[in-house]
Amino acid sequence: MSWWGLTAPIALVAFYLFQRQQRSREQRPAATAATQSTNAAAAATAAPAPVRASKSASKRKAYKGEQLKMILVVRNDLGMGACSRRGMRERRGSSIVARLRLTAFVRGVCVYRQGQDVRSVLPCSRGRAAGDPHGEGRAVPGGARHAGALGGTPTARPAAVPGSIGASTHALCASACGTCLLPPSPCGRSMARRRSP
Amino acid sequence: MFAPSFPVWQEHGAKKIAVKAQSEEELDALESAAQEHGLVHYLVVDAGHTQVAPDTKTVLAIGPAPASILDKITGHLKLM
Repeated sequence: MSWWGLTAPIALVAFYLFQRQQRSREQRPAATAATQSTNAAAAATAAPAPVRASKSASKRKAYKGEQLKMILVVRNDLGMGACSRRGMRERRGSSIVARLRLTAFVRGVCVYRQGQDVRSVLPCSRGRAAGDPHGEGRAVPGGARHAGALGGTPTARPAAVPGSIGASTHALCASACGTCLLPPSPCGRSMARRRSP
Repeated sequence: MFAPSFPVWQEHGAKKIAVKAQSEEELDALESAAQEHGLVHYLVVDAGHTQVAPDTKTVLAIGPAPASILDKITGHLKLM
């Protein structure tokens, strides 16, 4: 066999393979673009992806009306630091908010008026806040931590006025309910004692 | 004294915002403004057992009420 006869088939096969490779290179980006456009079209027509949102946010979104607010105006010229801190704590404490709602809205009136013991309802009552998580009017060893966890004032002082509540809580509760008969406890008393040496 | 927004509050909750007032007069003015707008509110008068004198007005709670109305009354107050 001549030299030409030997190399010609090899050259033809190489040329064929080169052409095939070029063709596939040209077709691949086009196919990818087509796939992407198809996916985009499918995504546009499909339902929007669920956005992760908090429960309260979704609730707020579900309510089409105007948002509600509660404003607690604390006098700043009295040195009521403890009271305002308590107010801030209550603002953060969702359990207190829930229980305030319970207090104000169980059957439309304050539960205190229905003859129930408010100490079992309000975690912020002085009894619980003073290290008595069950509101029995006595200090419980280690109860202060528990009271703090409940949202009350974490102090180990025994209950001075069992069943009374903080001024901020009382104001919020009374504003919501309009029928609260509980006396507000002297605000900031326990905190002031705690700070003093 | 129940506001029509109570069922909404019970169902959806509301923001609680603590702001500060500088004097008793300011607190009185805010209370009368809340009265004028027909908002539920409560003014705490301290018994005077501890730090402050008896019958001192200490805390005013307004609401729950629509945010747009409350902002007219308390929008100028600074946060606590």
